[in-house]
Amino acid sequence: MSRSKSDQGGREITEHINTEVPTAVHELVSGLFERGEIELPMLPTVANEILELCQSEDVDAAKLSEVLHRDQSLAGHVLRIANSPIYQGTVPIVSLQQAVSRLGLQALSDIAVAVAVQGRLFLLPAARETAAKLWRHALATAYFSKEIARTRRRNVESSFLCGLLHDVGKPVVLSALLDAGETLDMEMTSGIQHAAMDEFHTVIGEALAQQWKMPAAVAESVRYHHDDYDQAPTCAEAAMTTCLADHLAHLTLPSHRREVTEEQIRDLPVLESLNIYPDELEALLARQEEVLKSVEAIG
Amino acid sequence: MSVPRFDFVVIGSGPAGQLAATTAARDGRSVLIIERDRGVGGACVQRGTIPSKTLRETAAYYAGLKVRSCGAFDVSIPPHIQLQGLMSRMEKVVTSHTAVMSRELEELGVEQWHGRARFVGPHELEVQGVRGEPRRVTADYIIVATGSRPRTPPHAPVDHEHILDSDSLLGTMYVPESLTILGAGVIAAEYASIFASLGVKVVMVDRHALPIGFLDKELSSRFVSHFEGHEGCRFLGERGVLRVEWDGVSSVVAELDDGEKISSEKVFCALGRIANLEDLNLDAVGLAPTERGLLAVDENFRTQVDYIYAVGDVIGPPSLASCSKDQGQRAAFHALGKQAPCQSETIPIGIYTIPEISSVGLTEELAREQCEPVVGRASFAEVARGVIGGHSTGFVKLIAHPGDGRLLGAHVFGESATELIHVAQMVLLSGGGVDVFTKHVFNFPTLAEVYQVAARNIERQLEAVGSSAATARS
Repeated sequence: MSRSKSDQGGREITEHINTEVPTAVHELVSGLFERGEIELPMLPTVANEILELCQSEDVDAAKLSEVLHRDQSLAGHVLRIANSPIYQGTVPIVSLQQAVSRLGLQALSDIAVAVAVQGRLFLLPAARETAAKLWRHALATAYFSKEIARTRRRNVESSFLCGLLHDVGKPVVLSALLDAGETLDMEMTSGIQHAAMDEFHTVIGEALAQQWKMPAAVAESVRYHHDDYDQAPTCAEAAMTTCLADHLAHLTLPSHRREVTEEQIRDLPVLESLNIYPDELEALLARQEEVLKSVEAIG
Repeated sequence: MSVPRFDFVVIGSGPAGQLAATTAARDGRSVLIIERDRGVGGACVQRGTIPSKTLRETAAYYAGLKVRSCGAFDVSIPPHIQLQGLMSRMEKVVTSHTAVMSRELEELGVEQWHGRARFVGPHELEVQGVRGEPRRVTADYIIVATGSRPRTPPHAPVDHEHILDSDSLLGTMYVPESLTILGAGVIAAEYASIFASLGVKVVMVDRHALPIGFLDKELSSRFVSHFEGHEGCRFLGERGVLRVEWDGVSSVVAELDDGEKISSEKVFCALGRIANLEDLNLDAVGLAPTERGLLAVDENFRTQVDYIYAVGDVIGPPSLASCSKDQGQRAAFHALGKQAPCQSETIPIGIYTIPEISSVGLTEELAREQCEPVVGRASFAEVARGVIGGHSTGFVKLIAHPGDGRLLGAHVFGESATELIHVAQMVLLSGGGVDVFTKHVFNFPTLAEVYQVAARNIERQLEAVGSSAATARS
């Protein structure tokens, strides 16, 4: 089953998926959200990498920081724990770099190991594949967010985190659906998974960001990174940056659902909102290969 | 389609551009102002003055509360507090200020275009918007007021992440625990004092012996003294920086030419600014930047092309809003064939450090090139309001002519310096002497009374040497 909808350039695009979310699934995810039972799982490969890194005698601080900066789930969990009563000082930690600077290597290692050992993992191969695509997209969005911030001469650190976590709600929804598959006696097809992720990821992601005491820029980027960025109450610029980065990431790493063209990117209204001139956009588009290589290098 | 024509086209809507545009519009001319950013105001409003002064306000209140609370409150800013929380009003301030400026331009009939302008021939510009086809415009007079941006030196590669400049510093999510500032100009000094007041360990490094070198030396020295009074804060003058590198984990290391290595959480690079000229296609009208990357102008701010003027940061320092406004106004008046009302010697300089610094007229050094000036000083601690408010570190310095006591210059370091200076500015504008301060009653208790103390100091010196001024007034 497929349907057509308009993209942000006003053109019709066809989505070759089942975009209807069954009522039972809708109620399940809504219920989990209302009860606050939302969890962010991790990829087993990342968990293994953390354990290997942190269990060596001389923990490579630069390497640990690098892993932290490229994994959405690890980043989210580290920030969550860093802001928990045990670790938190008088103010929340609001950036990955701040976490590295303030917590120090030992505490960071301890937290990372705890997350890797105790956290939920995507164990099913199909789920791992979907989750891995989500992670790659998150990382590509983070890289483009940095470049957009640099182009606009804005602080990069903030933009990077917004980009990395912008779709943090999607793996949460995915995990919930896979758990619920047996309970609901329903096959969670790829179409259902993606439709449910599309429908719920912004509100669930925002709830997670607020629960983890993320700064407003992150929470609002998670909630308003589509064509609703001007509804962001206080950090519209962060939301706009994430919106454009999201599109550029889709262009660079085409998901299995749709492809974005450069022509569509050039017509995005957010370019005007961000005051990005045609030559500046061309410079961003020229970075696709670099971003693709960086993401693929990680696997 | 015909190309629209205006009497004046102003490229850039910062302080210089605005004053040029409004001056021409008030004379009844047709004016177009072109701005490449969204919203008028230029870097001054969007990235510089307004955002930094908003943060400064919070830092100054915190510093003042510490003093005035006399230990009654435990006042401390936690390390790593979110920077946005300290600037929560910034967006409202910028939006409000931009709206006011835009409305003023509209009310004067100034047309506003959003886009990047470039010369395409004599009297003709092409304007490219973010979207859509470019459009052309012609004008009798064109005023270039495109401003500047922070310079990125090769040894301190600004990445807007670990090594910041004034465009990205205030976008930092949190107040760092330590900050190395490269440079000692106005921007470096302002941010150094702001972050020092917030409890950050700040190290300033610069090739010059004192910060803000164009000021009266006493002001610069007092700034250093006050700045180094904050824990962990140092000014390292007459030092060069060889390289600045991120260590890949948590620190940026600045290596100095004397071998010292300074490690800090962030580095702020404030080593000058570059004029925004590269998009203008100056070749098309036979202009070129100077070796320093600026536009050369004469005393009326006219370039080598007689219908093209340039004002503000594009012509070089001092890169202060007050000076830029004066330049914009004077350039427009010259193009209109009229005399500008303002005298550039009486344009005040305001520096928003904590506490503030402000000057008008001659420094002691410049005055000594002309005569043997009489200098009078007074501390804020010598007036009741200075003690009440805990502003004892402030002081005023007046420079007077030895012959008749005429005021030549005034310099203020301390609370409300940028407001207080206008009292001295008015005396300078009227050609008055220091007796203007002593013969008139001021409100009590006020900080302005410190002028009277400094003026009496000068009068005693004049009396001592039996000057004609002192004799006439006795």
